[in-house]
Amino acid sequence: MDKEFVVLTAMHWLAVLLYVIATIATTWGIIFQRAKAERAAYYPVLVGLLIHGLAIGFWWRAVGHGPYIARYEILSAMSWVMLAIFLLFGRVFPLVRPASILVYPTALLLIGLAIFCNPAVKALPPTFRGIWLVLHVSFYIIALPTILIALALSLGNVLKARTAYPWLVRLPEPEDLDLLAYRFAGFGFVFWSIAMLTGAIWAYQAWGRFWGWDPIETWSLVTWGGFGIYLHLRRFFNLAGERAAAFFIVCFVLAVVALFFVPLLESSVHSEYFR
Amino acid sequence: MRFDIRRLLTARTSVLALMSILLLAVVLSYIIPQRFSTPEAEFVKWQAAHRAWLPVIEFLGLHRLFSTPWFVGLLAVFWISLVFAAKAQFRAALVRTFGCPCSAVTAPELDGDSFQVDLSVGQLARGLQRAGYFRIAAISGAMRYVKHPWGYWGVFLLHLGIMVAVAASLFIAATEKRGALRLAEGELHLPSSPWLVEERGPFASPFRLPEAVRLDRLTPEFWEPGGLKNLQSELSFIAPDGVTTRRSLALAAILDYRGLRIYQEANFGHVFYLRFTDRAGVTGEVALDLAGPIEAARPSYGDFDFAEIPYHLKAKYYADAARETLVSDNPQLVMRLIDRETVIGELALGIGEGGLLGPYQVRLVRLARWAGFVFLQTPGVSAVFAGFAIFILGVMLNYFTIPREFLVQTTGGGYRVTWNGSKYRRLYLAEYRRVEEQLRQQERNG
Repeated sequence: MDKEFVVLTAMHWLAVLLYVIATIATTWGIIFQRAKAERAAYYPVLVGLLIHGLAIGFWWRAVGHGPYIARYEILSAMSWVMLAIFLLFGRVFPLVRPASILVYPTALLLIGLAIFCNPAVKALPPTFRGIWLVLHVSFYIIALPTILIALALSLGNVLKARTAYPWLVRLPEPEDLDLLAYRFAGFGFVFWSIAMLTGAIWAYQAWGRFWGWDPIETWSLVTWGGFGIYLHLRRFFNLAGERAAAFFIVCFVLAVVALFFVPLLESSVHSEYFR
Repeated sequence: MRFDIRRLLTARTSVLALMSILLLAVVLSYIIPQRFSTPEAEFVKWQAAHRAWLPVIEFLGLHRLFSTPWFVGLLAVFWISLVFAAKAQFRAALVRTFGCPCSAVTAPELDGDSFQVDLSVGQLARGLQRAGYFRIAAISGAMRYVKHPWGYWGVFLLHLGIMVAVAASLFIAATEKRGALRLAEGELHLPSSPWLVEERGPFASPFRLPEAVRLDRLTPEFWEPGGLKNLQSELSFIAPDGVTTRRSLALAAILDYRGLRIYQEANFGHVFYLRFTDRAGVTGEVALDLAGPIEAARPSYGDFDFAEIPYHLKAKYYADAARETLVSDNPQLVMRLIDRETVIGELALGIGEGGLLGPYQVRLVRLARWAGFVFLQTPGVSAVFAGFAIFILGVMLNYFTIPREFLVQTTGGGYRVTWNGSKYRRLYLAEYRRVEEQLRQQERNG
């Protein structure tokens, strides 16, 4: 396994290097308005995704379960899914592409955190099995890049409203940023809801309770409620522009707390994956 | 009067206030420990550290927040509001989907997004269908072509889903029955026997099993380096007429039996049956119930006080006397007898062995594995999941399938085609321009 660890770590570092190149290129391209550099950033991301994906597959084969148990594997998978989802959304909604200035460094941060976590082989706890658990974790992992894109768009909206940096011309018009942020918040809400539902089904299969008010469940519900209120305000109260962006930023902070900090600080059935 | 209540409950501000208060209550339940989920010692400690807040907390029932009348009342008001909203949204979705095309003409946002073409109805329909727009309503001189008409049903389904999920959750909370048991191999639990822990909704009758249940055999499995991999139990259900039904269950392999849902819990261990004989020759039997170790080289521990023995007994046990395996029929029990702070005897025993422990002659006469089980009677859980699934379907329709429509009206020299991109108009303007260009191209080609 030692030799395999070396190969695995090397593959992860290679992906990191490629993501660093992509982050520099996209930032350069957006800030200095070099469309070519911004476009060129996709190539290292694609190659990085390939290598990174192989590393995840390699780990999956070695430990015998998908990347949904240990912190190392979850963070690594989050980083990979974040970039893959962003590329996918970038094709369908070309206007969101400048969000790469936030998405690439975040993916880099996640893979970096993964590498610095101890990549221990964890045996699967008896209740941590079944398709519902896989779906539960997967949809939270998918929800994260979606709301990150919405965050990037919301931040772009605030920056455009409050500053006059020349590079902001690379971003879409404020009305488009606003609408896209709303739309992506809606997507994130869908994925977050699916993650909650599948989690409830998994919990019912594992322990006979579909809801246990454990700290992570509670914070996930609070985040979901926060997004729900944001979407309600947008639809029925015509909340838009800077105020909507500010509200969304608060919701995003809630999501980060629910996904990353509560599992570290609180003891719960979910903490097993993050300790 | 009813009209006023409906207006009040469906007012945007009321709904927002209700959602915010419910969310705040959830946050409060995180900050203030809840009786049902907090260990007693932790709960008392928290109360001691927050004495100044206790009168308010007690008055509002914040330690049992989800069962307070005000919270249940709020939830009920929220639910009624959802019913009214769902009804209104159903009507709105019906009108938007199948309504008269004339109604759309007056919408002010349509100004500007229209053009004139000289094509036949068939040519127009084909052109619009190629772009994903389908005719769903028509009256003389006007037709509606809609892309993703099901998107109009998103908000209704969203409301309906939450309505079903909340109603089902309340029903479960009011009627569920849950009993926890700890059974040793060979032990029989009668329907009249008390549960180890019983939880019941306020409208549920006492939870009694329809038949007696006995654990015949428990088979644990472990991972190679240690840690529980699985537990499998063989249970016998014995009816009053003596008919026995055998069933098995395991971790995450639930057993459904006569309307009961039975879960294997992850706790397990051994019960050690000991015979104590004192110096006067008086004999008594005690059972030590210890959790199972999950590593071969590490024991698990327990502390015991028995009425028959005036000393404190500390015990530990290894899964295997040789410390080599976790699956062994030869565990080793080690006991210490303590008189206040002083150890007055220590003894290690295997099955059938005996020895001196302080003033007692002790023999390990029998041992058996035990495991925990949870029995449930909770009708309505599927409705919670179904409600949430309907909600998700609604949200998906709402954000993934945005309806856009063209209104086609006959004019003197052809047709006037008017586009409605709804609230996402800006995002789909390019699509509108593309369709316009295609239709004009058709017109040019004749």
